Amino acid sequence: MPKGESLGEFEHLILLAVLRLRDDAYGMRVRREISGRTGRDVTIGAVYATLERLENKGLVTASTGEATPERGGRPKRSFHVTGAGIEAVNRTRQEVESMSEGLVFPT
Amino acid sequence: MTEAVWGDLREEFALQRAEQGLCGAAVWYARQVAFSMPMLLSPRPLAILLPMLALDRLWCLVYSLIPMKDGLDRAPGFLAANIAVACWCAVLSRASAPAAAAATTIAMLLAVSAEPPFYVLSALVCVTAASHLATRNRSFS
Repeated sequence: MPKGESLGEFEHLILLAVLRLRDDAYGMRVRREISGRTGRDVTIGAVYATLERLENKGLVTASTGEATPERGGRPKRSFHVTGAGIEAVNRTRQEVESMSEGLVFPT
Repeated sequence: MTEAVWGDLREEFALQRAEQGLCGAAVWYARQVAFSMPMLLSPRPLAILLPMLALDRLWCLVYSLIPMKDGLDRAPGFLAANIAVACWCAVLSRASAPAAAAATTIAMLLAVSAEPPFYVLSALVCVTAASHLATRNRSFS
């Protein structure tokens, strides 16, 4: 498999967050989902930069929603995982499971 | 994309304010902006600006080596080469149309010689159009 096709760790987290959020996956929600579940201090810039990279790879698609007053009249940019994105998530999970199989982790 | 980022920050600021008060939310906001800027600032306009400036300096060198030149005005072929290279860079870099126009304007302002109006207008129109077409085709693909 070429190097460009494998997911980075943060890309993997972002794709999982977008999958979890379904139709409500936009930058702020994705950031809070990852921060809430992993305890990481994630910036909105890192989230958008990664989402744009995933969009360029064809793993997510983006759509622009309507502007709302609570966002200062600015639109939401929602993201959806494509078929290729789901394949990439499954492949990464299988790789991690395969590498972890039979290992005894020190406590 | 930048509009969506500011919208997200504003929306979450209200949530942070409810969770940790105004001071905490202000610190959170400032931190988000400070650490997000390097990732959101795109190097794409530089991919147009730098080749145009490099070509300008190259033509300066070429002209300085011509002993019996008629004048300092550049032949149309040199300017056409500039436009072709800038358009190609705009397509490859996937810079947005406004960013491409801004990069082209800056490159022409920083150029050594005064540029003829026809060249300025052609460069702005061609580079912006190339960038617009490239980004539009990308969104359809």
